[in-house]
Amino acid sequence: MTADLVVTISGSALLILGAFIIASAAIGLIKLPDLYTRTSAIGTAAGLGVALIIVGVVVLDFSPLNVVKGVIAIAAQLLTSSIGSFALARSGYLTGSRPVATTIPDELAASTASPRDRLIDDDESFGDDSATS
Amino acid sequence: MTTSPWSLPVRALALLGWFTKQFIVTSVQVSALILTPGRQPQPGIVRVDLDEMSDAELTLLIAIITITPDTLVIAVDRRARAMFVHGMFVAGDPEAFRSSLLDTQARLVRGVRWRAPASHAREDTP
Repeated sequence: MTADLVVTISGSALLILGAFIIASAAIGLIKLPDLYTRTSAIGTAAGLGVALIIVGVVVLDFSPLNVVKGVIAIAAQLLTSSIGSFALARSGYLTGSRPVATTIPDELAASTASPRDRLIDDDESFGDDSATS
Repeated sequence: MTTSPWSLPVRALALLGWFTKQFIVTSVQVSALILTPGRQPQPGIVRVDLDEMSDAELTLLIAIITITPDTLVIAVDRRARAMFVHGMFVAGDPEAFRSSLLDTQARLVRGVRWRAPASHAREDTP
């Protein structure tokens, strides 16, 4: 009975905490100034938020098989969301989304005179320094 | 620091533990930044020159850097072996940010290779 209560409370707390982090990422989408910082905010929701919800579900419905499923789900979620964030940031830069002016330093802008021309002509690499090397 | 292939599981676990801690800490930092009224991020983009590494290691490095919410890889130049990383808390100190990324790279290489970099010197001598 008491063990049941502990499981219910801790599992629900994890679910609520995960939902809270996802909600804060949603606020970040409105508050933050540019594409790149907003993508970072999404990283908290897609990473810690989803991971906490998965852990909460595993705690509420515990079995060894569910633990394995949970670990696989978290690992797959982290890997895919990180590659997705990278693709989003890269395509955002290619289509001309500039970082906010408070981005100091911006060594990518410094290294690319006309970023769009440089980046599109080469599938293998991204950046202008490669042309001279 | 032992670098025999047998220590790989230990080194991989050390990487996993460090990464988990880093992931949680930076997630909380970014959430705190968002939820603090009136506080804005102090972002920056730095160029990081990469060591020699395989495509799989490079992919893993990009994944690890991008998962931690305060850092984000924007571009990779494979021929010049450099990447451009966006950080949320650079605050005008690019050198500290760059060295933290190089530290991540060193930890990754130590955690996934059969022989960690420290063994290079020994490999050179027959």
